[in-house]
Amino acid sequence: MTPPPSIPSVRRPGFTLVEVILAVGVVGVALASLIGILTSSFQQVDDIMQTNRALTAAQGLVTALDNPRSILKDISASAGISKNDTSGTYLPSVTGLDNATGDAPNFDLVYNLLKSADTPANGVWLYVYERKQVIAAGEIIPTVSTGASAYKINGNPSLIEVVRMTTDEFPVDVAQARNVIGSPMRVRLTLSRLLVGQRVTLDATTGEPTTATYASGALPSSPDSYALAYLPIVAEFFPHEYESKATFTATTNDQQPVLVQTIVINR
Amino acid sequence: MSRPVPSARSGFTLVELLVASAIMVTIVLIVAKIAVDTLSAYDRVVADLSTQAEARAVLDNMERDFNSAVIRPDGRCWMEIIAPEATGDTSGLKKLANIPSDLQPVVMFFSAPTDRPRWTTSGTTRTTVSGETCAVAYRLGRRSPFDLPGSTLQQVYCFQRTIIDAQNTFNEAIPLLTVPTTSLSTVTSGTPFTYWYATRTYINPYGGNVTGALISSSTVALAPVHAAGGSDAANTNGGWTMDEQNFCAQNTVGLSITLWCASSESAAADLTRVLTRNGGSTGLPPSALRPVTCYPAALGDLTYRGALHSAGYGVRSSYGGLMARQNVTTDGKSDFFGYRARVYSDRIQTDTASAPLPYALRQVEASVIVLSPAGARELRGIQAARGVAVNEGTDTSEFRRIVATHGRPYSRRMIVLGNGN
Repeated sequence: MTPPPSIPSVRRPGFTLVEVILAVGVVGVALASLIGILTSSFQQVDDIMQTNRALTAAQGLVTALDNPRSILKDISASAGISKNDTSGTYLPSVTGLDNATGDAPNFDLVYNLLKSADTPANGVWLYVYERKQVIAAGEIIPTVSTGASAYKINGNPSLIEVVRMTTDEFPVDVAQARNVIGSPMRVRLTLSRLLVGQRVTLDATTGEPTTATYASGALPSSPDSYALAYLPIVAEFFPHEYESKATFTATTNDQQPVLVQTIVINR
Repeated sequence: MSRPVPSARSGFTLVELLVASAIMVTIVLIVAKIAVDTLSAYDRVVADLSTQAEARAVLDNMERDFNSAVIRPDGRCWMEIIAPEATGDTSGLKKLANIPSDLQPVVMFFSAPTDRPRWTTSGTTRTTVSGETCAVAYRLGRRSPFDLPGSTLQQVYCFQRTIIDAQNTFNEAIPLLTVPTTSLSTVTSGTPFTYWYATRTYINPYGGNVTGALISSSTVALAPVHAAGGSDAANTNGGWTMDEQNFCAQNTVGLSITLWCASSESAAADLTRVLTRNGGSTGLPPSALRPVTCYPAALGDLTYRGALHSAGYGVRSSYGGLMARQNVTTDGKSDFFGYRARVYSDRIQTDTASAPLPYALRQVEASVIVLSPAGARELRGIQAARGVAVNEGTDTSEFRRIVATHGRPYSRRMIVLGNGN
């Protein structure tokens, strides 16, 4: 006997495979969008924090550029000035920044540092971070982990530091050795487009600005030939995730600055 | 005809229930994880934003003050920093609750703050106060922001910024400034502290005159003090600097001042000094900045510095500058001060060096430690339970744990435009 057509449906009280897949799909989409919302709000919070940090770093950078001899260079985790240093140096010891007697005006140092930074590719990379002066007691030095001297609240102030690395890399072990709070800010300095159209070059014989106006390229090689009383630069602040500079600057790696600030350096 | 019996599948099997429960538990766990992550992110953001807001309140005010700081090249001492109760200080300054008092500098100088009082009331008339230069003092305190001094529960660690109006500053403070003796243990020798130490009559910005101690002369207290064996109630006289109108930011438990200086010597002399100090390695131009910072001179701190130094870390190299690469037990001491630093236009005299350092102040770096709201709540809870401020002697570890866990450091370098910049 062939059973009546209605019987199979009575024998299948559950859902079909198609129904289950559909239901799971709907739930999946809902969950995915929920997580998507969460991720984007986390991202927004992260952006706000990064911008906040960048603002702090910007203040530190302005002060450092005011006296570029406070900018450090080429610190390292082992032999550098994080420990008993014998080789750590200030930025002006980079060849070509200072004059022969080592007493060039501060403006000249900044000028020499940035005169060729006309494009992002020629930009000057600095790292700005806040650090504790000494490591927290007990972390590394057992002998000071107890007693009255174990934790000096004010004996270990933080300070802002600005560093230039020759390789433009700031590895994580350096950050650890420097007691960096959080992660450093990666800053790219370039010449501002405010210079375009300005008569920036002094004539060597008359001492007056030449009629030629600046369009692009490097500024006059000597600060003495530079006609303006100020140098406008642009600082772009990027979060630093300790990726290499090559990775960071790769065209496929679309990095957006969290803060862009124009800084005017006065003579 | 036989018909299928629907009731044969009326319930769920055990296996189905188990599977369903497992799925449910998994979903709940995922949701809980997301919720916990969200909440912790929220906490972090709140802590960051609130501590940052407090730190900005402190540092923004400081920046304006230091930008306009008055340091005249007349040989007088225009700025002074003291660390109360540190070794060698005879003025008997007391602890602030559980912050060791040698670790809470009082900063005194002169500047032209934009929010200074510009007028005074006398009867029904309003008189303009002339002058630009005001005496300014910073100190950490512990008090209620609303009244004096408040119950223990209301009291919070705070940053107090006091400004004396220009007229009183001109009449009373500036005439006191003389060329002080080299002795740093006296408080009556013509420095800014000489003014702040004593009882004065000053114009109250809210009207009338007030006579009282600016910083209490009986104890020079950072009120309410933790006097030896006493409680908060033992001494509530902190002077006018602790008035609620000087309350600047709360939950501030640490303040450090680093003075960044250029050399005031000739290039040749400076080079010789630097070469001598650094073993003849590298010269340093006079305009390169070198730090002078407050490191308490107590024995414990020398031990601390020595231990850090011998372990290869810390003070000797901590600033990364050439001038800071000194032997911590010999000449390194001169770039630190234990309990007092006097700033002149062209030199800085510290308690650790017999002769003034040939430094001219260029920038001031201030570092403050601010407790997050969670940390402040925890601290207040402990204090409420005990009825007194947690005590350095009994609750050191508790306090330090809270500061280490919930304290966030913020620092800023500020240019002193008035001293050769």
